[in-house]
Amino acid sequence: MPNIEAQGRFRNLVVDRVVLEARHCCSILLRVPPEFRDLFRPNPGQFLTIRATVDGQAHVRCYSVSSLPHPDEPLRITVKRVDGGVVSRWLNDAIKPGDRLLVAAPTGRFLLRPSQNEAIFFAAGSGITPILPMIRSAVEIDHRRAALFYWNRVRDDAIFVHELRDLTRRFSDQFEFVEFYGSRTDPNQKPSICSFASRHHGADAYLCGPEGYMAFVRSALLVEGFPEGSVLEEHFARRGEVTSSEQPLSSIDAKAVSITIVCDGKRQEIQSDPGQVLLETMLSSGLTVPHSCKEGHCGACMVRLINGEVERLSSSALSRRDRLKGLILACRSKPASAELELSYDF
Amino acid sequence: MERIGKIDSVYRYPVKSMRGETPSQIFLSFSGVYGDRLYAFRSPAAPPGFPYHTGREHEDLLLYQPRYRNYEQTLVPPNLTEAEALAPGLTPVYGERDQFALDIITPDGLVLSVESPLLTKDMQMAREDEAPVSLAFSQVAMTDCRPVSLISLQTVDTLQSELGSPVDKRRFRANLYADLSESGGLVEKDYVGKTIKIGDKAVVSFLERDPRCKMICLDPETADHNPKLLQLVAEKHDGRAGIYAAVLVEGLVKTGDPIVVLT
Repeated sequence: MPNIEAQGRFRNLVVDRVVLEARHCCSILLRVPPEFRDLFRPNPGQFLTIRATVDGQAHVRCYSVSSLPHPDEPLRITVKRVDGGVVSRWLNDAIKPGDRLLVAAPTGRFLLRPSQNEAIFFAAGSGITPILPMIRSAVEIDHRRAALFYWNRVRDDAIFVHELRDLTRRFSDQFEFVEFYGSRTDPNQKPSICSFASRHHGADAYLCGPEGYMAFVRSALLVEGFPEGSVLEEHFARRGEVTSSEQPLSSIDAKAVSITIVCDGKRQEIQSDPGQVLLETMLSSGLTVPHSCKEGHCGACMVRLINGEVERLSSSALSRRDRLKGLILACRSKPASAELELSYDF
Repeated sequence: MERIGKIDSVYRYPVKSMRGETPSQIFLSFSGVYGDRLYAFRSPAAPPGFPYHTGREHEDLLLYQPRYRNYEQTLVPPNLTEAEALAPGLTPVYGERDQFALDIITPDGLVLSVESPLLTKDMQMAREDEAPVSLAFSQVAMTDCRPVSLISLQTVDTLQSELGSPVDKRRFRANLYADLSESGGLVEKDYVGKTIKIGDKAVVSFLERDPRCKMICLDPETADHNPKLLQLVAEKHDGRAGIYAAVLVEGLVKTGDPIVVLT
């Protein structure tokens, strides 16, 4: 077990190697000193939080661990270069062996369920990064049956394909690997996903990729009869991003989230427990804010997120247009950054 | 018996969340207005308890105009006259799906059958999650809660006054718009629990106040979203505007019909 007291504190880890994995994607292998080996022993599916200073500005980002916690296997994160992504661009373009990175202990709840059920995985693009160690753990360590449906637009974008094909060869009766290349609206994609899912009824399903893709796959699985509880998803966007902050999310005190609310031109600040939905925080602080159902159906508590990040819980009253305008539902949002600014003046 | 007003207009909405229509009369049946919300789009990505694809996720649904192909056949059940002649209170038989064949005029002027896969694809692409969408048909109205909805012009005027800007009554997507100018200042929420006769025959019970959602924030002409109205309703009116009713005696209702409190 990682040292709980040390979790959340950054440690300096040296970059051992940088490996080009695919177009616009590299893996960074990190050297972990012996005294930190217990701390940096991720469970398959977990991620590391990196603190980096780029052009004088501090940034915090989370990247999935793409290696298994073997003593002989280096700790590896795999980073896809994102358009406009400050840190991903820096990690792909500038980082080199011998450089040091500030890294917090692995965390995350996107984990393999302890079961002997077959495990099926749906990944798209860099969504393969937490999925690969989960597959390897299921197949190599737990001796479970597993299958992967991996979608990319083009072959050049696919990551770890050789490793996955090698796994198929070594575990031919245990692991099925389906590669799908095509646009998001490729008419063959849905039938391929449904056909794949129909061959693996009763399996636990794990999804990681763009939000739209995961929603698409989730719907297909439900239509194929997969119980909702058997589908687990990893949302990269919900891990929380903190820019220009010295504190990682994992070390924020329970009361340390600061929320500024703007209404009728007036600003008011309250403090929040990061685990509490925004509406409850505002109501318990004595604020009179619009709300009705408190369950994400009516939309009465809609508010604009001006600054900061939130974790969005499921709801049915927000449209794509609302989200593009930066609107959130206060009853279905929890803080995911140390500071938030909300506005009812919209 | 006390007359409290008259019917200002009647509406039905052949497709859930799409634009409504104003027939010359509507038939209030036990399961809702005849021909109202018989079609709806559903998505497995929607909550299981409310599996619909609605204007809340796809505002522009309000701009789609449904048109029944066999309009006259959709106004009343096909054997209504015979049922009424046989015995009072006999429930008429509802029409089959082919009698409710429907075309949709899209916002850009295309006319599609409601069954067209192009339409469901349109719905799917409009969703943020792009989850699959399918068409559902039901002989009974797929309303949110209760079979029949009513709001008074007076309630709409109050909200308009409180908001400080015009409020189009169609935002509330009611079946019945009532003019309660004869009630001595009372509005529909004051008659919850009462039995009300509308027109010559229909009798309804005003069940409860109607809890509102984002739909009232959408402009019926442009589908533009302005949350201020719902915020006002939430803050000043417990999130409710108008009422839901249940039908006790089926019957036809039209503009001008008297509204009378029975008990």
